[in-house]
Amino acid sequence: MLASRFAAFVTTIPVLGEDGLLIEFTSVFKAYPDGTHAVDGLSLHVARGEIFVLIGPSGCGKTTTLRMINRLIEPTSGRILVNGSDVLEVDPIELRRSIGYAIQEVALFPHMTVAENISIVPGLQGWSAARQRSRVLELLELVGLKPDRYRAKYPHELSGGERQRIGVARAMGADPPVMLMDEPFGAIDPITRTRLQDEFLSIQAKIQKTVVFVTHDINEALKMGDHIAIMRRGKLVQCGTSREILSRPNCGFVEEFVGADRLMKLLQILRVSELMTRDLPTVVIDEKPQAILPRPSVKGLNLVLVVDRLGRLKGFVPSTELLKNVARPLAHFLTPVRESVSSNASLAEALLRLSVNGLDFLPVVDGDQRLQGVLTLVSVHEEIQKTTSRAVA
Amino acid sequence: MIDVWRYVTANWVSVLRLAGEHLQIVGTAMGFALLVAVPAGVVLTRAPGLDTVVLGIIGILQTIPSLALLAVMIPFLGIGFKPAVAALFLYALLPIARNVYVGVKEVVPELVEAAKGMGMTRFQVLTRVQIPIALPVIIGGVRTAAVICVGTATIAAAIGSGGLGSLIYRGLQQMRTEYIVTGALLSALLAILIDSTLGAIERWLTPSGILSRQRASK
Repeated sequence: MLASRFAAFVTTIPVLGEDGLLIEFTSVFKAYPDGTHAVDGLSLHVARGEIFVLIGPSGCGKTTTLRMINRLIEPTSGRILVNGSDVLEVDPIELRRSIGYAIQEVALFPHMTVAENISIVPGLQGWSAARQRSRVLELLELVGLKPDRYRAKYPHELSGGERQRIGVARAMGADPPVMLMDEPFGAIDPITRTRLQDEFLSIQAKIQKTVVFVTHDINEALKMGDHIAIMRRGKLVQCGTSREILSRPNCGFVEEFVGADRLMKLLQILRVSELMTRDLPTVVIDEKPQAILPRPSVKGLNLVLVVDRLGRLKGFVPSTELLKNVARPLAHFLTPVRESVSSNASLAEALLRLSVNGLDFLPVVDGDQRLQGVLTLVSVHEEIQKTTSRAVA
Repeated sequence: MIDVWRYVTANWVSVLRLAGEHLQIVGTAMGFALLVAVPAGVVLTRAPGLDTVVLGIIGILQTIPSLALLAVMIPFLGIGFKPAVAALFLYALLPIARNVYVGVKEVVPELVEAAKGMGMTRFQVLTRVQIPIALPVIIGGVRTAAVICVGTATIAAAIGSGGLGSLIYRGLQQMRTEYIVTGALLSALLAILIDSTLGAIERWLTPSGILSRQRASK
């Protein structure tokens, strides 16, 4: 009896979030009087510092889910914890002031300047005027807008892209640990959108906010999300990293939702750095060929890479040539390298370069031409085949 | 016209006093009307169903001919200042309440949602977002109400409230055109003055963001 009492006690202790979980949904339902379930038994968790994407077809409940986090909508049952506290048990005003909120329409207040818009939540929280001012400057810099030019402007004087940036800056106003974003890059042209996405990712790399992001664009989800939750008719269908979802969709709906170009997308996600070989057969350009000892060999690669004393790539020599020209300086008979790739590049880009140039390998170099590794065509093929066979299974 | 001029210059003290009485009636009525109609307009934006009913009832008041409404007040409030203020108050209600209602309702819902989502209380959403944005419309309603009040106050002289209307009535009784013209001209001037002053206040109070946008959209 004591044990069951103890068990009951333990399960009611609130999760303290020390394990890094910032947001937790446990069996959350949102039902409307007419019987429809906008959210149907949703359980998920968002880790501290990650970008968590909610995606699905229209009406799947992703926006409802988002708005339950800051209690603009209340669940009909289930529990939602934010930073260890149940959203229904804390003051909703304080809750919302501690969560950044950016909606699709941006909705900058037209009667306020950019600076006034950004300082809304800091103002609500009682920050001093000086602190508000410096925060506005800081945030304008962060979103890539010159503070002197923009702080006194009115929203109607801004372009769509500028408004989206200010919307994000406003959501970050009081430096909230959590941010909710509902299609923040939805209503802009694709070029500006890509740029804003990239900039947001680089901002995120610096500040590591916990972001819950709603989108209907699978490519945006795959690009932006550390974890992606695919929803359908209020239920969670699959939740995982972009890699997991692309390589192991758990049902036909997900496979279809991700798109017929699923493998291509996977290749665009995988980086050269993940597949390249770092253990390389290299030789320094002024070494005497006789001094060349047996080097590590790479599958599918019958050559030796020639670098200078600083590690910069100078060219390569097929192994057979090396044996024939033992007496000659390397510089005389090395083949210059036509194509190389950066370790950050996607496998898709690498594959394209290999194919376009009819090569079986690509040296991987950094910005200063220093050799970091080698990517062979053979390894790319093997990776593709591994992925396909996994998905089929 | 020369008679008018001679009359005004000879009696400018009493003419000014009448104008003052006129303003007092208008001012008092407008003051009460603002106190009631502005909150009422706001409350109605949150009462779907009730809003059309209430606005409809107040609207019916507008259709009552002024002299009739003034006369109806007499059994309750006697004659003079009080019934005049009461009637003017009723006339001012609709333009103000309706403009507050429409102005606040017209504020785009996303703005309200964004404000709420950022952690503003309902009162803050109202005072920091909805009303500032609705201000041009609201003041437009106040101006309409004020002009109606000045005009009706002129008629109210018939039930003894004083003001510039009494000059007109006296002129009609004594067949003195200069009284009539003075009374009429000055009430018209008063209405114009009040309307332009309110217009200037509107421009002064309108947040620049809205003003520039209005200019831009012209």
